[in-house]
Amino acid sequence: MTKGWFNLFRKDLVIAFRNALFWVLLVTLAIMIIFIKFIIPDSQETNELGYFYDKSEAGVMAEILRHSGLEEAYILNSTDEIEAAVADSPQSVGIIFEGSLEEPSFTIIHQSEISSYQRKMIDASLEALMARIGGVNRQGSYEVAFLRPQTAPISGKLAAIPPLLAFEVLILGFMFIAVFMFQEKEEGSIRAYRISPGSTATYILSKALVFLAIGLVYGLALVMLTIGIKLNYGMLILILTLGSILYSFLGAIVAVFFNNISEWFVVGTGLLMVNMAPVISHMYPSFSPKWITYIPSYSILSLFNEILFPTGKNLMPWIIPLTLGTVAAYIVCYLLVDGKLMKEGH
Amino acid sequence: MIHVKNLFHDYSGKGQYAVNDISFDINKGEIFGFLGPSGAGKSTVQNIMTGLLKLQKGEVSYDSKSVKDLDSSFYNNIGVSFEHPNLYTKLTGYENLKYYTGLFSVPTLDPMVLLDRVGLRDSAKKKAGAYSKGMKQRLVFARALINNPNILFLDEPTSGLDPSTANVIKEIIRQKQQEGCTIFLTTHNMFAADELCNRVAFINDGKIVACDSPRNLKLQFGEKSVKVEYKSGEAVKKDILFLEKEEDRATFNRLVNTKDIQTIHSQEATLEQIFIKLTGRELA
Repeated sequence: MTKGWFNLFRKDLVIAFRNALFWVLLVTLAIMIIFIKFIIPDSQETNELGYFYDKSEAGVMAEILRHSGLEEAYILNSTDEIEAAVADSPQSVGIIFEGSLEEPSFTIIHQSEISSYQRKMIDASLEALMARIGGVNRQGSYEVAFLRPQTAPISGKLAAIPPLLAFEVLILGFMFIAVFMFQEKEEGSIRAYRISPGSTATYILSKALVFLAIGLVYGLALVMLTIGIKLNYGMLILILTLGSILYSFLGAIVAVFFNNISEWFVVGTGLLMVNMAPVISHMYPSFSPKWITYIPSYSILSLFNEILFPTGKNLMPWIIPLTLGTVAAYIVCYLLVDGKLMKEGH
Repeated sequence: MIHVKNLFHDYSGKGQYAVNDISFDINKGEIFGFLGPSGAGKSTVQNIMTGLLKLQKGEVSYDSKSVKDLDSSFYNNIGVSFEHPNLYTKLTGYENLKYYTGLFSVPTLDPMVLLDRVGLRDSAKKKAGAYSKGMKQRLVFARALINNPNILFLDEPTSGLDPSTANVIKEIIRQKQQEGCTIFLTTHNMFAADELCNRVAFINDGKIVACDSPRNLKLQFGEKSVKVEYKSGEAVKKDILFLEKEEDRATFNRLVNTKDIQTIHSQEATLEQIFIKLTGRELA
């Protein structure tokens, strides 16, 4: 068994190295590392400018802002000036003050649609400004409690690593196993395997091992060269291993139903897109409907997040279902490959 | 050794049999030819015998052990050469054989020795995808021999080969037979079958229409004739006479008694002619 397994592993590894897709992936990895390491800034600064025009008769607001340290260049003298300034700078916002300090009225001018988040930020800023002018101290009126010890803020560019691991590295197995199976069907080499003593288990596991090896090298290189070495690599390797094997099995389960990449394309890429849905929850944690949590990449993404940027969460509630899912996927994969790929006449 | 009895196979499941009540036996060390045109059911029978296709109805057994009960170790003892070359195109010829040796749990032959025997030593390091059709055919044939099998299934082993290379392959087949290997040869090449096979079965529309040694088939179904060349004045004349006919037999006797005979050759019908006679179909 071991001899046969290693023999197939070596063969598939050689074929992988001679496959153009492998080199495309390697170049993609290098580009990703270069971008994360050297090109993408740590945080995305948005240079939002605020122009102000005090349309009230007394002009008190303009005076207050000058005293507060707002530069003269941002205090304009007419609605036309403020519209021209906003037109010149797409990310800027114009604010026109009317009425009195007791009964203020603000008009916001902007070029394109702004998010409700930005609108609420502007509302809150103006409300705080008016409160400060009115002598009200808002500080200490609320308190923030943390469930777990606070961790260092995550750099914006490094926050992309967990999704890259989940959606670049792990899907290698899903895609590559399909490519290999279609290639073997097309050249007929699978027929030669069928009439050899090689078993179905050896066939599946040797392929999964190849994509695991490639995935581990790919994933570890990505993490080491971007985040560094101060993290739990044992756990990272475990999750990369489980995830890679699971996705290879899932890839084979889907691929057995098709004869070539063209037939597979719509279903295969559709499944890959569904698999990427958890990235929405990753970006907006409040969006986690139940169905998204059933997608394997949801758990895997959460695990990568916790391993790379630990907050002290218990990983077992994710690892146990992931392990059980991998075992279940292997059983289904074995039955399908044995019944549909290792026999003819379907 | 190999026993096939009342074999049926229906791909559609609607009672349209691609193989329809086929029975034959193959003795140890025999070369058994399975002859028929494309679509006759040859490959289906071979695929059932090798376990590629599930046995639906009938019996296939090796030394009394049903093909249904054979495990993967059965494949340590057989070699299969496919009509359509099926190789890892991104691996070299040598790598294809080397990888295949690793699948067996019995001693295997040196891939380079086999490549040499089929005339591919110089192309051993070339990717199989760059091989010509004939080279691929030879590599698939070599792969079938790698585990030194007791039973060989050869599907059109000389197809696409030039006569010289085809002779090399035929010689290897004869040698394997001398070593005690049982060979199931599927072909529509009647000349190759005539040269190599101890017995042949004609298959047409999923049924065996005749099964015997090539010689017996010719004796049973061929029309025997004699070609006589004789001098008539200064010229050499030629007559073909069918001795089963009384009139021709009288002519033959007259020529022998009265003419200066140059040559006499008995003529047998070819297997192809017999196949056409039995089925009304050509082989190709």
